[in-house]
Amino acid sequence: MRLVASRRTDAFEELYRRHAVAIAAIASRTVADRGCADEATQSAFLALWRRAAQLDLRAASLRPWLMIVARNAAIDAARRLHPAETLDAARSTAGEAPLPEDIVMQREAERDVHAAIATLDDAQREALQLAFFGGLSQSEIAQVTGAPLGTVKGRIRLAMRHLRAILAPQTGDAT
Amino acid sequence: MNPHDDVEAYVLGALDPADVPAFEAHLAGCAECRDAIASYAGVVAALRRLPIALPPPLPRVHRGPRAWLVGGAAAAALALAIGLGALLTANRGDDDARAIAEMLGAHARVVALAGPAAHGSALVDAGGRRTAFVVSGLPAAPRGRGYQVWVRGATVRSPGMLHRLRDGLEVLVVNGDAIAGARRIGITDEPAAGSPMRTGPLEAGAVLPG
Repeated sequence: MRLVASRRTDAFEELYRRHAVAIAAIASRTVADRGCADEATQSAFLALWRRAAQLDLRAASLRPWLMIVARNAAIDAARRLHPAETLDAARSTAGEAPLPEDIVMQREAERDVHAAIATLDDAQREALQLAFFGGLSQSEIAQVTGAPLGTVKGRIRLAMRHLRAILAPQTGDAT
Repeated sequence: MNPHDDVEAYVLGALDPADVPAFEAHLAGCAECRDAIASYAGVVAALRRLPIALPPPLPRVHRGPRAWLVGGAAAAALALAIGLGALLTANRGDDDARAIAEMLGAHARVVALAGPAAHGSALVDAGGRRTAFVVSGLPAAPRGRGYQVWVRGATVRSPGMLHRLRDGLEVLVVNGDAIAGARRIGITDEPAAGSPMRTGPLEAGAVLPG
């Protein structure tokens, strides 16, 4: 981080190599639109480059910080692109060849999951995404979002119960 | 805290590592929590099936205050749209995932691979020091079977077998430029130990120009 703050592009590239896969994973699972996800991943790293000197991050908190920035950038990009739609904006299929049936079904299933996630309240959605797609523990989520640990635990519990209620009947796991 | 309340964090993998042993000890004697965990199998599977993307190219930065994105061909080359699966925990140190990210960051040469249900890419890093094959959409190979990569140039050779990264993504990373001189790249279903010659149907592949 110090090297990035002193404008060392090699250090910046090393941070990209360490964290880009994880950041792209959370961005691409926050919004369905591929272009928005790519833009968000790049925005997060550019924010790091621009703001490295002002950021007071330990190495362990850099990835969560990048995740939050990328996630927010992905949401902003999706809203800009699809202002009238929810975050589960359908992938554009314009100009694509007809798809095999199993791929069509897979895409429909993806849309269902995005739609279910979109019905969570914002704080629950953030906790779920950081946990499952970002691989952060509850304590790390508390740290990076500034919410008390007990609150984060409650959000994760409620988010999962909500998703189970919506998705379980479709996945044959009704309880 | 009531350990019953940790079920959801546990299934998400978000329980703090220090709390996992105590929760698992509790689980051993709590049928209610085991049932609750089972009730989330469908949710977790649905979340895992969401496609993920490999990273876009490294943003180009300059030492001044301005920075801008690299665009065009490099970004288009990475319209890999690797579907399925979870590199999701690959961020916790999977060497191959890291190697692929490095190659993408270093503007690797990308050859698209396509098949009836699968798609992916062969990536060669800028110096030709490493080659990665990344494919999604292949069903998990049954026990004793696997997916083998073939490269046909003047002769046919096999760089090796793909291996599955978590759920969905099949990868192989090898040293050197494994597709130098290639006219065709193919991936077929073969015995897990590898086959001396191609016997299975083509799952994905590419025909290279020239």
